[in-house]
Parts: sequence; C-alpha cells; structure tokens
Amino acid sequence: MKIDLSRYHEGSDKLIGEVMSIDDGYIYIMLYPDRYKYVGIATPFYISSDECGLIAFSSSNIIKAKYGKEFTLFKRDLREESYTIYPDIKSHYNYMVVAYNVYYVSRDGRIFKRRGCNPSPHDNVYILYGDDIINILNREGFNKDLFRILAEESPKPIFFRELLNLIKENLKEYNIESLLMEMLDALYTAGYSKIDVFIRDFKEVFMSEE
Amino acid sequence: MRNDIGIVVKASISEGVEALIRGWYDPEDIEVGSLVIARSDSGRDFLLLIDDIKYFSRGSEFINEADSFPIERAIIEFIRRRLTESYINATIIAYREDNIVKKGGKIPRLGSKIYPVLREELEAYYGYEDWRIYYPLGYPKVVGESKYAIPISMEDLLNLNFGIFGKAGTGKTYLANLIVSYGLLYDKYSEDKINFLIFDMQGEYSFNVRDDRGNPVGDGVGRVLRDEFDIYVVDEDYLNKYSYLHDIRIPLKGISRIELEYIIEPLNPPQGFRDNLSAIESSIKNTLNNYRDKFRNIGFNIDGDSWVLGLLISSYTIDRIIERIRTDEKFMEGSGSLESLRNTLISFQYDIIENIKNQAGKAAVSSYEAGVRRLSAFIDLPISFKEEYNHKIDDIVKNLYSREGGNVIICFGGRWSRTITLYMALANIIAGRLKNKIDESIARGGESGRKIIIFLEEAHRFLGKGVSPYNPFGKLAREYRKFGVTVVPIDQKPSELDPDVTAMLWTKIVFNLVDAKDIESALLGVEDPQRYRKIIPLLERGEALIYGIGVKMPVILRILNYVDYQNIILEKYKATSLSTSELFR
Repeated sequence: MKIDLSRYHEGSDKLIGEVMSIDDGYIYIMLYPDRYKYVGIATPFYISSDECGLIAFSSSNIIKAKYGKEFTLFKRDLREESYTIYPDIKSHYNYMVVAYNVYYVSRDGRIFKRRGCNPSPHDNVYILYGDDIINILNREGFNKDLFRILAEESPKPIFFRELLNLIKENLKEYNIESLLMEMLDALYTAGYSKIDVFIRDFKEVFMSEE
Repeated sequence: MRNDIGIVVKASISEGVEALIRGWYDPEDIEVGSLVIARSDSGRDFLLLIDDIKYFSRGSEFINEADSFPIERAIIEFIRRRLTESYINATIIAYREDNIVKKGGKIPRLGSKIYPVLREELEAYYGYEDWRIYYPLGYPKVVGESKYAIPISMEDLLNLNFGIFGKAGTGKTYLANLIVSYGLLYDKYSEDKINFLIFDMQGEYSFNVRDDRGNPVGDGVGRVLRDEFDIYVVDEDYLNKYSYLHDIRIPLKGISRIELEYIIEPLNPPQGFRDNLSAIESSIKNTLNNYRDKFRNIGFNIDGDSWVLGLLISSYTIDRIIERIRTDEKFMEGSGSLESLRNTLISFQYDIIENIKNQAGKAAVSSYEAGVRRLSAFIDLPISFKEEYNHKIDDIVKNLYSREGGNVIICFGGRWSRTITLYMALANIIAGRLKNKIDESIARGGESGRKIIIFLEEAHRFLGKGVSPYNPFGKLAREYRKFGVTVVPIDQKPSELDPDVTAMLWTKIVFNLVDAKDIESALLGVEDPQRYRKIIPLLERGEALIYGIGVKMPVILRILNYVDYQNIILEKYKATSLSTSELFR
C-alpha cells in the first residue's frame, strides 16, 4: 500500500486541522472550524509528522466552547439577526475529533501495518483522497487487517456503521458474502463483542435499496 | 507430507481418544468406522477406529440475523470457521513402538497428531495377503482412499467356530461365498482336509448370487469351482436343466422316531402328539405288519420302515397322497392300481386308529389326529418313501466325513426357496446323521485330520435359545469342534441364538444390524462393545465389523465384492494346478 504524499501539503483543501495531543493510540485533533463539516465518524486521515506519517480514523467529534465560557442560547429570540450581531459566533468554539492511529506511513508514502509514528502537536491533519481510501481498503481483496485494528479499540457500533458506509461508497467491486465473512472474521479476531449489531448494520448498509 | 486431521486433546483407556479436528479439515470428509493413526512425539503410533464425530458451535444466534442468502452463507461460514469446534472420538485398537505392534494398555500423549492411515501402517498392523493362509477380505474405511485389502487368516478362521450376522441384503451371502472360495484355496495348502457343507436357502452358492432385487449378478461358488462340489437340489426344474446336479428329498422311509422329531419340529406339532409319538409309532408299525402283504399284493412296497406314512393319512389327505403317487414317480416304491391303494389306505388308517385306541387310549387317538393335521403339510413337499433317498443322506454324510470326500451344497433354491419346513427338515436330518457318524467314529477310536465346515443360514432356527440344546446343529456347534466340526451361523437375528453357541464364536463378522439386542449379541466378546454399538447400525450394505482371531485387530471393512473377485479366485485356483470345469453359464 502506498499513498501519494505530494498531494498532502499546507495549501491542500484536504487539510482539516492540527494535532492537539495524543494518548496512546488516540490522537486528539483540533479542526479548522470551516472544515468541521467535512469530518464525520470513521473519516480517514493522513497525519504528517516530521519523520513519518500515519493513517488514522476519526472515532468521535467534539465541540467545546473556548476559554471555559458557558454556552448561551440566543437564536430563537434574535432569529436572522443573530449572525449579524455575532458574525464570528462559530469561532468561539473548539472543534475537535478523536482519531485512532492505525498505520505507519513512511516518508515515501508506503504504508506499514504497524504504529510507531507519534505525531506532535500542530502536525497537519488531512482527509484522505478518495483513491487513497480505496488503496487502504484494498489489500489483496478487502483489507480485513484494517478492520481488525479498528475493532481492537472496541468502538461504538455507530463507528462501524459509518465505516461500512465509507466502504460501500469507495469499494466499487465486492462480493457481499465474502466481504461480510472477512469482516466477521476480523471482528472475532479482535474480540469485538457486538457482532449481532454489526450484522444488522451491515445488512442495512449493503442490502438496503437506497 | 500428509496433513494432520486433528490433535489429541483427551484420552483414556476406557473412553478412548478425543481429538480436535483441524480447522482446515471438513468433518464431512471423515466417516465413522474409519481407521486413523495418532502419532505421538514419543515415537509411538496408535491405530484408532473413529466411532463418533461431533461439533459444537457458539454464535448460532447470529444466524437469526440473516434474512438473505449471501448474508446467511457468510454468517454460517464465519461460525463454521471461528466459533465451531469439531471433534472425533476413537477407540484405541493397538499401538506400535519399535515396529512391534501391541494391543491396549497405553494412550497417546496430549498433542499427538491424527493422520489418515497409510498403506504401510495398515500392513504393519494387519499383515499381508499371501493367498495361502492370508486372503484379502475387504478394504478398511479410512479417511481418503485405500487400495489395501485387509487379510483374513483362513487357518485361524476355519479352526474355530465363527459367525456372520447382519440384516437381509447386507452382504452375508456374498461374504460367505468369498469365504468358501478362500477355504477351498486354503485347503490346497492345509495339512488338514477341509470339507464344506453348505445349506443354500436361495441357490446363491449353487447357482447365482443375486442383487437386492433378486437379479442374478454373478456365479455362486458352486459354479465358479464346480468340480469341488456335489450339489443336491430339491427343485426338479434344476435337475432337468443341469445334468451335474443330484436330487434330494426328505427321506421318510427308514427314519427313526428321533430323526422324525427333528424333521417335524418346524411344524410345531401339539405336545400331546409328541408325548404319544412312541405309542403312535408302535401302533402304526403293528398295523403295518398286517398290511405289508396287502400293499405288496396291490404293487406297493410299504413296510415297517415306511411307518411315517401312517402319520400323513386321514380321510382328507388320502386323495392328496394318491395324487402325489400318480404324478411323482419318486414319491413311493412300487406301481399298481391307485384305486386299490386308495381303498387299502382308507382301511389302513381306520386300523391305525383302532390300534392306537386299544394300545394307548382315546386321548392318544386325538393326539394322533391333531398330529396328522400338522404333519399333512409334508405331503406337498419333496418327500419320498423310497429307500434311495434315505441312503443319499448317508452318502452325503459319508462323503463329508471322509478324508477323500468332497464338499456338499444342499440347495433349496428355486421353487422351495422360502419353505422353512423343508429346509429345516433336511438340514436337521443331515446334521443328526453327521453327529451319529462322528459318534460312531469316536467309539471306534476316532479319526483325525479332517475338518467339516457347515454354513448354516437362518441359524437361529437350529441354534436358537431353547432349540439348540436338543438340535443336532446345537450339539455339533457346542461339542464337536474338537472332532473337526465348525458350524458357521449366518443369521439376521443373533440375539435369538443360544448364548452358549455365540460365546463359542471366535471370529464374528457383523454387517448392519439395527435391533439393540441383536447388536448386543453380535458384539459379545469384542473389547469395548459400547464403542461399536453406534457404528453397527450405520454400516452400509457390504460393510462389516470383523473381530476375533480371524483378523489381527478389529476393523470395519468394505468387504470385497465377491462378484468382482470371481475371476481372481478362479485364476488362483487354477494356479494350484487342479482342474476345474469350464464355468457353467
């Protein structure tokens, strides 16, 4: 697996934030407010650090008011005037996301099945390009290793549901039967406990008419 | 390099071995009754017989989540791969260390690996065929394919009583033909002379073995090795068709009361008749003293030796007897006016009753009449009041007992193939005479060096509980082995055999049985019978468990197809440089 790192630079519209802190395999990322809308649960990132990079997947979005201020309601009374009076209201909040560190990326873009790249605060965080997502999801067929690593963190069922949506959108060719089998196999290997919920979500994502 | 099937996780002498089947092995590819090898890292290997296959799975609740085919398949495959543990249970047959095979007493270590058994391993445990003493009997069930036929020792098999059990249509007769063929080959190399006596109910030894729809599929041993046998038939049609056959009938002239009791046994005569038979015999003979000349004067030779005729006549049977005499020249000696004979028989019957009444009382007359009602069934069977048929029985026995004698098949096939009364009557009278012959020989100091192997189908009728102690076959089976007689019961209902007889069977060949009592009886004598109970009802047609001294270890075999093997047998037979006729087809 390899990604084209030349596309991930500070002028890229895929740049969505910076690393705030890390805690073991979890990376806390502060998002640029205008980029927040592009980040959902199970969004894949490339994080560029000094000597290496890494692939991570968002697991939860968090918004907090800055400077310890309390949140105040005003929109119902002010209606349309609210944005005239407080044009910068959204900049009074911190937009954060927690992501799982999944893979190590070398300086030449090769992806290794290990961790070990520890990002530093203010390292750039990019959303992955679509073709790189496909690249990561495919590894001699469906990349069940990715699934296993993510399942080892015991994420909430919603994470896998969103990940399934991501897979469905990006994998152009797949066999439902073998895809589900590989996923179940990976979940079992990781000791994931909510397999029944996963199966239900899989059906809803892959078998629904929509 | 062979892949292992599984790995031993549990073992005990009493319970056998439990092995976890490897995830890469499909339990469907393993069959109960198969032999496998457990190889321990100690260097020993253990020969195991699989007696159970099972699996346990978790996560079956996930299947309920599936509502479409691909989802269900994926879930099932996932459960199969990840949440299922499959096991085999196996009996330890023997083990091998330093290339020496030993039976029992050790179990394989935890972690010993289970492998499909190789030919050379089977040979180490079961030996080689040599077509002198050891003959190929059948292919063992193995995981995968096997071209190795496990040999049976004809020396050991024929030296002691053995039995063949199984439901109808499972392959008993095919096997018996195979064993007789081997026995004849073995006889060429054996120091002891072996003579076979076969009671052939369906003609499947004399003429054709048949498939389960009754179609002939090959020649019986009596045809394949025709020069080896004297074949006696009861069906006249066969006699007209094949010149080499001999005829045989129930001989009713010159037989003793004791022999008659054997003969009439299947008709289940009333107890009163049995109790008064001695008095009835005496009365008939007395009456015949007065009638012998009357019969002679009208052209018929009916004397005291024909006393059994008196047990067949009554007002409602005389016309049937007259008709038999008219249409069947072998029925009675003499020729004359049948009308005169009819009248004489009427008065003869009247005088018998008077004689019995005077000698034994009215009650004995009632017993006599009740007995005649039962015994009159004989009139329609191939019976004869000619002396020659009595002598034929003696000739058969003499031939069998002689070192220079041969093999005999008594064929009940054709018209009479389901007539148990006929079958039992002739078999009992031959067995009784054979027993007497041996008794006489013993009294004279005995002879040795000759074996008589008797193949007895429907054996429970002769060797059954309550029957066996009084039946000549029962006596031969229990007491005459040391005088060279081996009785081979072939039966569907081993549970009905006298336990004293089954306990003396040193080799048992057990085809499919379903009745628990039959299985229990068939397994009497095998180590760990509980291990085989589950297997016997699962055996397919042509498959059998064999254990005892005939084989080195118990084994489930797909018995060689006798029909496919005929040419090989004939070739081997010719190789003994003895002549045989062209096959009669």
